[in-house]
Amino acid sequence: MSDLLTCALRELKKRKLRTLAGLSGFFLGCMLITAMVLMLQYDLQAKNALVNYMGNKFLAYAPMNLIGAGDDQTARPLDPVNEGFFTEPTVVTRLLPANLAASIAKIPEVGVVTPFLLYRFKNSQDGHVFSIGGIRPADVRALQATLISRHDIISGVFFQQNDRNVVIVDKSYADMWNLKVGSVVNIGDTLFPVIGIAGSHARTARADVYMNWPDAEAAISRRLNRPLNNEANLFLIEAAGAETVAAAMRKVQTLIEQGITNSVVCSIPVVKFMGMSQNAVSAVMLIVAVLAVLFAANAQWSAASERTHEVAILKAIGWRDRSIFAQFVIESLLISLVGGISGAGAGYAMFRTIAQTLGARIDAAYQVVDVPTTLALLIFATALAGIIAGLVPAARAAATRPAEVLRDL
Amino acid sequence: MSLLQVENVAKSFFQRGNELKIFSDVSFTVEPGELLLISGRSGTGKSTLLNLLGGLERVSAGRIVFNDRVITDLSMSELAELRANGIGMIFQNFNLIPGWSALENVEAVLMHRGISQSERLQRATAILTELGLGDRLHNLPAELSVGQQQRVAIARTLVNDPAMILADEPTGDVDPETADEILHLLLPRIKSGRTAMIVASHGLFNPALATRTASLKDGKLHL
Repeated sequence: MSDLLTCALRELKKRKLRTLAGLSGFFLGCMLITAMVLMLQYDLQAKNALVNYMGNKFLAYAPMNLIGAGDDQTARPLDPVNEGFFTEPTVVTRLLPANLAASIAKIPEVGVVTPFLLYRFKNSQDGHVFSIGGIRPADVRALQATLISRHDIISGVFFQQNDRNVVIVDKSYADMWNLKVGSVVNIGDTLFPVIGIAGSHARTARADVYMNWPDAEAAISRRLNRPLNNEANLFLIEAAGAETVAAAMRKVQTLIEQGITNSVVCSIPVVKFMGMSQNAVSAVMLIVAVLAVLFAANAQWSAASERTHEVAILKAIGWRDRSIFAQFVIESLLISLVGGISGAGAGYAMFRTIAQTLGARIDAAYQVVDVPTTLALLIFATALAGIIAGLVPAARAAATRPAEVLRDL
Repeated sequence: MSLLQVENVAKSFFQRGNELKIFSDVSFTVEPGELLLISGRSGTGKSTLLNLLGGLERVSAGRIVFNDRVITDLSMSELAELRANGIGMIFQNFNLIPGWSALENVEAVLMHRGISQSERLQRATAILTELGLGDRLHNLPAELSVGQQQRVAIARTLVNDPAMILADEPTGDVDPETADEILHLLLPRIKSGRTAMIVASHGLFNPALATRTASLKDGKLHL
């Protein structure tokens, strides 16, 4: 092996122009691919993070058919003008079995799901209208992803699973009515102490007052023509990934008669765009990689042609075919490795420059892009390409028939 | 048992489906310490015969035995090993690698044989110095005179201490004085019995130096 390396290094040093040409091919190819891969990773990770934060959550419900049949069985508010099951801002919804959540959870594209009771209440004292949301604190992950969790509490505490007769209020509602932890909220003439204030950021759904499921069921039931029977009017869902939102929404919709699914933001075009840009960049990378290999193979092929006489001499003095073959492959590998390593370094520098020029936060990029692994994989791939590029010329060189070549001289 | 036995060897080439017979029924033996001169006009197949003996080409018929090994049965890889260890070849036009120095050209024979680089360089330096090229080790062939180039080619052959040297017009391209120098480098080794040499020449080699002569004519070897 050391003989091969010694000889390969000697050859590469002596044929500077050819070596430089080979190096340039791998350098340029690897640089462009590295920069593109890192930019693509950064771009995809950033978009994915955005879509995951905002766009892969959606809610499912069935709208109330106000004038048609089919909704006879659903519970109706005693004061349908001011109160009712709704989703934002004015859609009146039907009640659905809460255990539908279990069926929804079985859809592969669905990550987590939790039922939600969202009911518009009229305050009996001053007549203002507010919404209450019944949640199941046991659905920790689903609530955290779609609605509210202990991380959203800016004052006080979040529900314990067995907490009863206490509420958490949304900050905007708390500010409007000057509510603090320890204040009480009148819901259906029952007073509920406030144990926490939740931040008012964007959510899949939102209520002014959050209650533990049994408390919400009891409070709402008193306002209906019949008591609730483990029913929910909304299902809050997070898809398994940003790419699966569309499929998840479609499948959930089929589970609910006349069901509707709504995402908080329009994630589907983003996801489609991600796919398009990913495919485009992948295609460009493939072309660049193929060109780099062809360029290198051509350089090695020319080298093999140019060195036919030299190879014939080496075989005449006792070099075996496999030594000649290995010699050419090692030379190609060395060129690709040096070109690949320097190209990957330059590509990384290019990525940083582009990201900085475009104003992207490099620190953020560091967090989402696995630079060492990416560079290691690209250098490995380049070395592999170098070996592949060297195989055919090496086979050609090894097949040289010394007697014929030396006779022709 | 002779060092080399050539038994009824024939060689033909095929060009566009037509057989071109070069020679046939060539038989002879060579003993250690012998210098066999094979003479003949250009195109009679002298170089081809040397190529067959060196395993660079395959015989069309017959058998060649070298050091008790039937080399006509050996694989290309085994033949390469034979050239690396037992048979040295000297070509008329030297066949040095132009981009490699004199030292590298000689060292090349010792590569891929498990010999350390320091030993390779030491052996190559020693033989080149012995042949009077100690101050030309790092010169490229183009920077050497014709005689010096031929001496590098001889050094490349001798560095392995081969049992048999095949020389194709070893003095063909050099002036008589240089030819004498070259022969004086080779003959002592032959006379000492360390090696045998087969020289192919079309008349430029002095037959008086040979222990035996043969001529290749009309497709037959006449001893």
